[in-house]
Amino acid sequence: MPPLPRSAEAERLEADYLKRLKQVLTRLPNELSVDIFENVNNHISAALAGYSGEVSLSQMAQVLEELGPPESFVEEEAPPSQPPPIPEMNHANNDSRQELSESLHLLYTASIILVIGIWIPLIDLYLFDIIACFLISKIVLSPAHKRLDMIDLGSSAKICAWSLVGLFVFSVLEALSPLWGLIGLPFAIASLVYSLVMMWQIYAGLKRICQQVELSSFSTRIEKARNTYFTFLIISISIGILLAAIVTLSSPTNSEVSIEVMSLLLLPVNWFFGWMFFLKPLKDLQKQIESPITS
Amino acid sequence: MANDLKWLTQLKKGLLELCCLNLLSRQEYYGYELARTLSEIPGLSVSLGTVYPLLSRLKQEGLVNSTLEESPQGPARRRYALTETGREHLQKMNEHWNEITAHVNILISS
Repeated sequence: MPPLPRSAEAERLEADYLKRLKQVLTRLPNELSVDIFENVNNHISAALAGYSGEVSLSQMAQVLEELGPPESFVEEEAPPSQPPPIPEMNHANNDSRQELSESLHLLYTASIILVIGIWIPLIDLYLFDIIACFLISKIVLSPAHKRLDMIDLGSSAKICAWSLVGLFVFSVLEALSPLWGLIGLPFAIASLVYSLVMMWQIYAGLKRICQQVELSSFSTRIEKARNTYFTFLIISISIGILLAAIVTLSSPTNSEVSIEVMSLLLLPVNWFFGWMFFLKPLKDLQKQIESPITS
Repeated sequence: MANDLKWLTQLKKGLLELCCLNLLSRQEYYGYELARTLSEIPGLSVSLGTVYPLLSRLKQEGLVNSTLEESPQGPARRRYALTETGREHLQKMNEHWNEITAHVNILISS
């Protein structure tokens, strides 16, 4: 029987767990570690067999929590004197670091446009988002993506592809329909949501990279930056919606112009936060990864 | 406190093996089923992360064997059984356990 389909997040969580498990199991003799790994795999499948439909993130988290942390599988059986495993990226040669650094640079470029473009739909300029989608898709196509198993960006690519289709359809509708004003707002919201999803995925991708190159302190920094930026975005969006509602109610005839002027005024604030908590950590990570290349 | 925990951990570790072999002496178990049963023994409170490595080690030591069975309802499952060596080993373990607990109980109650 084929395994139950997993949601993208559940699949990522499972892959992360199994990867960590594989890493800690290197402390045990090969035969033992292969057997444990197979048992854990079977356990996950058996535990999930009780569910129907797509396995959600919370269901997967519950199964993995029940299994306990990967480290617990070697605590009892590993010889105490054995040193902890060294992650593969520590052995990575300069070429793979170079490749990773180049990918991060491309991602950084794409993210600049993403940060700039996230607010642009409010003033009807979709080109920025299209370019962001294109550049991020390009990251996914880069060889480093498969090499580093960056599934997070793979999910972004799918969102990008569908967003591009959406943008095209709506552009046509805009040209043809006098009712654009009615569909423009939902589209702007949808556009904003996909930008947020992409950002979240990128943060997740960066955290994975940190783990691979053993930069755990940087991983914490990325997490803090993500939480700060998203808190700001939520507050900012809420204020924006509130102001738009007030302006529309007080002066319906000039509301469109007023909202666009307000959006333009808010842009620098949003860009500043985007730079501080999204772009800068990304750039710093790239520098950190680059440093062993030049040293 | 740390010494209490260490003592308890050591005790549970030894008991887990004893419980596992005793369960298998009564019937064959699927890995998942056995791990669950063991993790649910009151007081033993072992994690699945302890059970699976133990099963693998017991298999390596030749005390249990396992066969992979295809299942129409789900993924292939590993079925564990006690070997003849395992049965002899368990008999000695049980004898030791009975002897120890009998003496320890007298000591505690006196």
